Amino acid sequence: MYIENWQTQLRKGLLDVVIMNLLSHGPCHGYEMVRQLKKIEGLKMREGNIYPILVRLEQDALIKSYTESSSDGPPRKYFKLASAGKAILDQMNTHWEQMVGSIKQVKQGDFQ
Amino acid sequence: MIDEKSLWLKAKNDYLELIEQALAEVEYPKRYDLLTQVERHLEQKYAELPPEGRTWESFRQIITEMGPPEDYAVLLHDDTPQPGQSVQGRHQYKLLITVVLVVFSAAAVWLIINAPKILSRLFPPAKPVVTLQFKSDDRILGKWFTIDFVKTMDMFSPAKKTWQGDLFLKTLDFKNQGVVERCVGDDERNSNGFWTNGKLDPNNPIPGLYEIRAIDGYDYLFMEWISGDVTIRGQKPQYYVLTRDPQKVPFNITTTSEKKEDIPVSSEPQPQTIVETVPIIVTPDPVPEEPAVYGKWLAVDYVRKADDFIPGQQQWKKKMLLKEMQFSAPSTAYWTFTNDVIKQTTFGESTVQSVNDYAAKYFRKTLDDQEYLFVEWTTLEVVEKKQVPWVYVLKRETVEPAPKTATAQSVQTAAVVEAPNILGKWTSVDFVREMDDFVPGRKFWQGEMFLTGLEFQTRRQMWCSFNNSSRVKHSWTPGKVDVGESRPALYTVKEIDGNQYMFFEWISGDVTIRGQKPFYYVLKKTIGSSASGSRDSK
Repeated sequence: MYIENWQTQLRKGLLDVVIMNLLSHGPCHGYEMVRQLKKIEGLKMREGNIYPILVRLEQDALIKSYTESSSDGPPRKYFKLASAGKAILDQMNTHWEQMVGSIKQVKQGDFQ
Repeated sequence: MIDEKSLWLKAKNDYLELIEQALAEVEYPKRYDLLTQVERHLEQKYAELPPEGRTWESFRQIITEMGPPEDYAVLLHDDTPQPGQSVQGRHQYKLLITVVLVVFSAAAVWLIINAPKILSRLFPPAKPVVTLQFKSDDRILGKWFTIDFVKTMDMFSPAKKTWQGDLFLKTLDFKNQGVVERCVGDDERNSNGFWTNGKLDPNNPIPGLYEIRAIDGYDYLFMEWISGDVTIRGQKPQYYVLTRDPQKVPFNITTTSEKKEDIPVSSEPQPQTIVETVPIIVTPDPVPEEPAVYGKWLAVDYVRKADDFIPGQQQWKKKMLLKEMQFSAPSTAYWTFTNDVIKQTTFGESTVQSVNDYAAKYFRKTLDDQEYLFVEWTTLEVVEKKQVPWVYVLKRETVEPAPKTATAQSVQTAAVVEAPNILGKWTSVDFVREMDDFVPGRKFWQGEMFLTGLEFQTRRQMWCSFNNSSRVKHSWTPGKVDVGESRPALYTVKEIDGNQYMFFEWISGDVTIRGQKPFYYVLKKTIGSSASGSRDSK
């Protein structure tokens, strides 16, 4: 139970950086993002999780959106990284690498 | 039975409604944007289902995969930056939190793995490892009796019982030292469990959390019910409501809380905010005329509060109950609902009598050169729970008084036929929530009807025909049909506008398992005598 809770919290905390990394490869709409991310087993994200994060990231001006017509239904909302988002993402990725390195160091008992 | 499209719409709309409730505090444009995207996602999932896969189970699967509605609010939560703190700073802060979380978690995992070794070193004589310490709670000690079962704690009202079915959990008796005796089932089986401060079954993977709330001077215990829906399907737990003295609960004492509504209201959302003022009940005293409001108004939206309304951007995504209102002299208001039922009440002094005889405030406002009327939707529940009513927004259609004389439509001339001759074939013409919802020539039910007809025969035999061409045989006695469920399906024959219609209860799982009131199939006789009082029906 503990480990499940921890994993859930961790996943939720990291969804921002996951979504922004996905958008760093190009514009995408929510449904397609879910499809892509579901293929990555370790993420185990709920399909609905992506939408509130997209709303929040857009409000923080880290991503931008635009609408495009769709052949299979109403127009779709596409998202892309804003320039501020790119800069933040670089920092997030750097911090993440540092964090992984730090944990590895602790695991190995390397306190030098 | 309901067709798959209707089932899907129900599943989807229920889910969207729960998200909307979870996002109640989020401002409108953001909430609307999110709900629109989620709805689009759900529609796409539905479209990708093969026709044979469009079942209730797969719909539930789609909803489950979307995640709990509460997650939307959690993930949308915005840590507003402090003055001078940049967005960038906030994300760095988040990352820092994540780092701390990860490091602490790693340490915790290490501690858990190595706990036995550490403990054995600290306590050499092999003392038992206590996994959870009991912490008492004096407020809960003693016996509690179950009185209700509710979806959320806020839904409970001592004035009105929510759960109409049997209550599985009967009592909980909390004893010292963390033992609880529970009594469940019709056979009142007793079993012992454990509790500690705030939790029942604390060693279970998902303990049941409890909360004691004082309402109107009495303590009520709200106990999470950890069923398979929670542990397996990941749903939010519902609550048993318990009290120390069930005889003192208002809904066990009075009978005055019986529903007055004679129009459907259950599909509207429940207002959340509690206010001090209670809407007054309208008295039949004469009230001053208000010619400014005379005319016809069309319902265009239904909003939590008047300020939420934005012309041209309808917020209420579901079917509205109210279709239009008409105000005319002398002080007469007509409420026309989407099922074309019309109710006549009075109005004056910025107050209109609701269809349930409560006072509903209204006011006019001009937005973008268009005149709108905002009318409170005051229901029995709003009054009893002292809630702020939601508001119907109506757009001015005509300005002329257009007085109506006593409307023929406002009262349905439906008379129950005593001892009807039911022998013969009946064809389904509608499916309604209440018998009064049926209006000849108009369809209440917009979906496909599963039950297509009934054929009553002599020797107490009858056949039900369905839209998949199947037929099922049952037996009947006057007034009811044994449909093989835990209760029979009752029927009533009414004469409306010179024709006889049968109102046949539809006994589904919603009725037998979830304790809901049955809908009615409305059937018109197509073959057989329509004369009353035949010996065949006796």
